[in-house]
Amino acid sequence: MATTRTSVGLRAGSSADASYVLDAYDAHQRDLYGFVRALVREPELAEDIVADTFVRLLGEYRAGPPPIEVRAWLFRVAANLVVNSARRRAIAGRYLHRLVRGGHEEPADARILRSERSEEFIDAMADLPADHRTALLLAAHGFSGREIALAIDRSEIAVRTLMSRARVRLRERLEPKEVER
Amino acid sequence: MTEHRRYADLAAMAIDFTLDPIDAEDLRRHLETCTACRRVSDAMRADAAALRSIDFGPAPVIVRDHVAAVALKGGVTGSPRLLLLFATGLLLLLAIFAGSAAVGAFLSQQKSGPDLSEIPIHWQTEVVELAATDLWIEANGQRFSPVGLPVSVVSDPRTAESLTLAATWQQGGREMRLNLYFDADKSSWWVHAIEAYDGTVKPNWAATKGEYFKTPLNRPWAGNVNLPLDAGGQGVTLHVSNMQLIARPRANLARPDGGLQGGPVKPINPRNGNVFARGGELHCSGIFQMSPADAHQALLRLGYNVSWRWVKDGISNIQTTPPGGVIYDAAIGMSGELVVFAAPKDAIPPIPQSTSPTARPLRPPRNQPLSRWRPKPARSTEATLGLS
Repeated sequence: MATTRTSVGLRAGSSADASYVLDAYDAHQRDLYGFVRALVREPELAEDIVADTFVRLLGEYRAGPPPIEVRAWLFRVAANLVVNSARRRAIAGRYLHRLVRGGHEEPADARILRSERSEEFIDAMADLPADHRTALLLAAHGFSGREIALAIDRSEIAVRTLMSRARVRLRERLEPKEVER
Repeated sequence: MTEHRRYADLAAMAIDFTLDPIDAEDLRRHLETCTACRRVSDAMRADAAALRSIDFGPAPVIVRDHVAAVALKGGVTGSPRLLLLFATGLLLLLAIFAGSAAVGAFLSQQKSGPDLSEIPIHWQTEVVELAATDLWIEANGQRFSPVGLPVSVVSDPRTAESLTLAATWQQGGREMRLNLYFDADKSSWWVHAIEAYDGTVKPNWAATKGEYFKTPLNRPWAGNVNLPLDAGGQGVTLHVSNMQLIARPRANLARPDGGLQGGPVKPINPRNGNVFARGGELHCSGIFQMSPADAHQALLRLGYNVSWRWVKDGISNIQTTPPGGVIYDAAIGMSGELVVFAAPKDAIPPIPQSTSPTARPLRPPRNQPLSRWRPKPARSTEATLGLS
């Protein structure tokens, strides 16, 4: 796992800094936001994590040299931030989430579209361990086994097993009786 | 672990990795003879495809603003929400470097307007954008201006046609606020009320109502503003120099994720939200009898934002162009777009049942059961909709 730095103490900004990070932002934000949203499910938290990821990219750029594979770097750091945020928010977040959902009436249109398969997948994935979710979503975004291994800090061999287990578990959650044990 | 479970694991692994030749051959032979495992294998491959199609659209503008603010300022980190005040204060610098399409398009309409670096006020939300060379509120003999100060700018898109722009800043130990309330119809947007704090320690609202800045949709209002606000006899005036203001009613919200761009979303039948029901704008429009390509053109002409879904084997995928097959259902999306579902002609999936009348997917305007419904051959778009 690459070391990431916080942006505290960075030198004053410049147009080159802004240009670099905003170019990267424009190129990768949609993919990265989708990845993080699917992992954390909460839009506000996803926004924070995406912003923090790009701020850290800025830190890397300023510290130099910038990452060679920017996309892979961004996903790796975002995945790490998701895990860290999940650790911090594990208990409070669980109950807060319930409160918010309980007190919020979902719009009719939202209910219609929730029937779409993507929501079903997000719901099903929520029950999987974090590393399973991360690996599945990284694979969905086109990352190789080696890149996934790097992102979740496992060996490539371990990732093969983990991915296989994750896909079977996801199927079990989507269709509980389909996969014979 | 049963034998079938082992093959499920192998089938799952085969999706992402190349199997050992012996395992691959073993799996192939098993899947040839075991229907259950073959179904699981196919389903897992479909799961992988569905995961690839998940798309939440772009990150909100606030995220980019935050990143840009940090890049330009340096030495700041934290949540975008916590730093909203800071980020909006730096939007001026953002305007210099960000070069976003929206800002560019907005400002490019000033043929001889001020240079970007000379614009001290640039407030941008998802639905409203205001740029000006100066802005101040004159109240009780004092001048309150947000220029150079951190400003919190938010919009509340209350309905498709009614939204707000609310700016808040601190000055001289006092909180100042400026609120604009917008309305829109099918052709124009305008401000129907303006209110501001009167600059006192315990502030009161100074306000005016009327029809201000009325402008055709998708075009900015430009000019100077010197507008007295009623503050119970106190003299409060809003001044804005070289203001360019635009409201985009549902423009942002109506952009379907991965879908297609159409015109502004028209108001949905307010009674039940169903444009295909009796009284709805598309009742008896013939949309469901058209091919997806013809329906797409017709809906764009009618001013809808259209987002297509291709439904096959129970999986709904967003399409960026009208798919083949036949239209079998439609719904209003969360962003106000018209979501149209198409499926292979011989595999129209069942319509999901809902528990609420308002949550019901929009069905073809016909009396026969949907299970028996098959589309008629496509007719001319113009003839069906009565378009010229």
